[in-house]
Amino acid sequence: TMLTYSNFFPPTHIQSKLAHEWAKEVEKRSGGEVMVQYFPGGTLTKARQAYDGVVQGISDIGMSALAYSRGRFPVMAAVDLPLGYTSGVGATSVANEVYRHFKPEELSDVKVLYFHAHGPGILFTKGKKVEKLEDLQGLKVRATGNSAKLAAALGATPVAQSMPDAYQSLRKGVVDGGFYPMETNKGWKMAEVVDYCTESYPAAYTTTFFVVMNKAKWDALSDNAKKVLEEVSAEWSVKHGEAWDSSDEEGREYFVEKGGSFIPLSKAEGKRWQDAARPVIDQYIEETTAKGLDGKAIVDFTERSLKSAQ
Amino acid sequence: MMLTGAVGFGLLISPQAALSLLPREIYSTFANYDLSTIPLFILMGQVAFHAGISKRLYETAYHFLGHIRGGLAMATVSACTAFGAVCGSSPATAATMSSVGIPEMKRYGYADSLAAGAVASGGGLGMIMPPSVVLIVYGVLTGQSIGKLFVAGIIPAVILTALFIVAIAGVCMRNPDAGPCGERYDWPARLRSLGGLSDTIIVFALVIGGMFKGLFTPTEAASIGVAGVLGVSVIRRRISWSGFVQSLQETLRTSCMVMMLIAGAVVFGKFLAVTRIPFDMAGQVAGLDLPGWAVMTAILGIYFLGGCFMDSLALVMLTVPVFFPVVLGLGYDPIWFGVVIVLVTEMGVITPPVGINVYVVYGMTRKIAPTIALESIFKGILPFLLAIILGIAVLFVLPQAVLWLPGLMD
Amino acid sequence: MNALTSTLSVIERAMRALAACCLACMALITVIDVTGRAFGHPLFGSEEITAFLAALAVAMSLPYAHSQRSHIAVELFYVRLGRTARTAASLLTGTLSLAAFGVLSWRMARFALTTRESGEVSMNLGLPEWMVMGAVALGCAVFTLMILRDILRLVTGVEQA
Ligand code: NA
Ligand code: NA
Repeated sequence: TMLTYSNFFPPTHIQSKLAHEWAKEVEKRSGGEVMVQYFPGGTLTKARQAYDGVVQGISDIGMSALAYSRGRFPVMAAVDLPLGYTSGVGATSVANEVYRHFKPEELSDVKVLYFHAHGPGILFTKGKKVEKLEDLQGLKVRATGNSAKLAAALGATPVAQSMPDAYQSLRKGVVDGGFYPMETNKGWKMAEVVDYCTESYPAAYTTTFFVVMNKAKWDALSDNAKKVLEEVSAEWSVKHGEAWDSSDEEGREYFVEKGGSFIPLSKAEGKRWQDAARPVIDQYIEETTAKGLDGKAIVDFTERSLKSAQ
Repeated sequence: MMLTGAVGFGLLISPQAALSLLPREIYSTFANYDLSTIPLFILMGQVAFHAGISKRLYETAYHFLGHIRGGLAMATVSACTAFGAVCGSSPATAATMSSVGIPEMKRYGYADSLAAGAVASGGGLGMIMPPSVVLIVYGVLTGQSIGKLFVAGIIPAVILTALFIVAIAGVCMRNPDAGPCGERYDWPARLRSLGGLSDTIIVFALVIGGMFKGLFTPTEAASIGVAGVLGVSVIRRRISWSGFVQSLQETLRTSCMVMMLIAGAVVFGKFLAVTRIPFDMAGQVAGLDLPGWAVMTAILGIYFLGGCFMDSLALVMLTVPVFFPVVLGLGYDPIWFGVVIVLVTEMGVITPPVGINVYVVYGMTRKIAPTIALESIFKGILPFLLAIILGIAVLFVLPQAVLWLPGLMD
Repeated sequence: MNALTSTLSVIERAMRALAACCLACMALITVIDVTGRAFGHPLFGSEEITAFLAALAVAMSLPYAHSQRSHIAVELFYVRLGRTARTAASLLTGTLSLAAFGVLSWRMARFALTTRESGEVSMNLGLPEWMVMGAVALGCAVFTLMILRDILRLVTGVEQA
């Protein structure tokens, strides 16, 4: 069988290279029974359309971020909350745990292969040092969707912009900073335009990425092919998590190389950030409960699996 | 184009998939923030046009350059470069400058092919002059500094503007009727005509100054420009309510057509992607055992051919990842390659069959100069194509033209 | 026939007015955002609103663009044909585009409905984006009706191509 695989990550991105390797590994281990045509960089479906594209059969497999479809994945959205992530491996493991435990209805129209999630999303600023929560008040900070809720809860003024625009805005001083994972410093060259990294790990968020497959295509596979896909996926989800961490490491080196400096938070100050971010989580529980799900149970489970993962 | 794309996609993947693809691609093109600047830049040009700003601008230019053959076309391509410093997209530059430039050039008796060819090709200067959408995408794909890429684009844009001016002079030498000479004005008259520039200078200072001071991003400059032009015109009582309404309507008509065309190109691009032609071609060239310059020429040839059929952004997305390692292996500079790619893909936007700028200019001229035929625009771009090829040759021989400015940044 | 024509032109004018408002608002939103930002109060999600307004403006001006015959079609080779051949060619392209835009309107409407069912909202402001999709479907539908009207006119001989 020939399967098409659409990924929004640009082909030069490590996450795209890994997906391509996944495809090759599947071809190898299935002995050529499953072949994969790989379309990186959103050439087949763009980030926002990847999930729907798989459901509709535009591509057979798709990778993108859950956050692009706000409201569509209420259970899985818990993983993106600012729960204080410290690594991509941890976040990835939490995402897969949460899926395995809840098997949420929201993903029932596809076959889920695996999830992965990027490293901790923290605060970067230009010119202004943010050492305590008060320093952040009223600063204009680039953040979208989830991170925008976090930024607002912490007292910053969120500005929703695309990454290329954010680079420009920061360079020209239109905004004062941004919430993003360390790897973005290199990946989107943000280190060129920011000066400080506030180590806001106690309130760090993540973004969950899915790899899903068209259900009919999955059902049509042989048992052996299914087994190969499941196996390779299980191995690769770990690799993606590790790759996020090594990208974070590269991003950190690049940030230092470009003259960036770190601002650690004391334990007490960190607790203040964590508490300030709490309303985002409470709001999630409220909204999910309104949809007829047990929001509290979802958050509790997510926090528990985070604790055991890191 | 949209139909071919959708039917082809349906045959290759499945009819069901094609039917799902169509609304999704079209909607996401319509609701794209970066593309939303196109209507705004068109509106800015329309308001400027209805307020007579463009007319005064050209009167001034005519005082200075009118006695030279083709002088107004030369002024137009220079204006395109200046406008390109505000606008990141080449169809948007072409659209704005055609609503401003074509009526004036027609008024002074310029040939259709020269007038329309100048704005369609000049639009490409808007992409080479920073800010530039394609350079941003290239920087992200290859991990190059976007700031450096932008700075690197400045000198090539100026070189190309000069070459365009030479091309216009060449056209007028072969055919003196294409850009007729006007009368020569004395210096006092020329200086007096500078007064006509005041509105433009105010708006320009507002937009450029605001961007450099960091008050807004290049993408937002479109809206600020609209507000600026409108503000100046209202204060000076140069635009009427009906003029404003007319510019809104004209903008809607044109942007609607432009967006439909872009959506069509996007759908067609998806079809091309699933045929895997771009991937295969790239793979083959990478495997050739030839000297460096020959491989580079072959790569640029592919970009040129691809640009004939595809949107430049989609083309860059599809092929840069394959060619980039090859180019690095041959010892070429990544910043240089990025700028050269933009130049080559800007040839694509003016060549048939899919020449977005040509269609944009054609769409714009339907109302202001309905006699201009699509054929004569395609004819008119020929000298400019030669100028771009010459420009690429210059960058080959003199890579310092690209690399000198960004080198200063280290 | 006359009823269809006059109803369509009323709808077209109403949609055009709406589109013009959307276009003006696009510029206004950014100006408010930029001014507000200078004083520390940016308008959150202005990019999203601008993109939606752009989609609305384009969708609502589709019928107007059609009434102005701004589509390029195959004008290049049109001019070389005789009157009968031109009518025939117009009928052919008309029927083709009727089918294409009919399908497009239908699929766009379905896209809007499936998005609504999925509970998906816009990423930053959480707006019900399916409504914008629905508006695009509406624009396409009116556009389709206008193509139908043109074909009827050609067939009944009210208008020569
Ligand atoms: Na530009
Ligand atoms: Na072309």
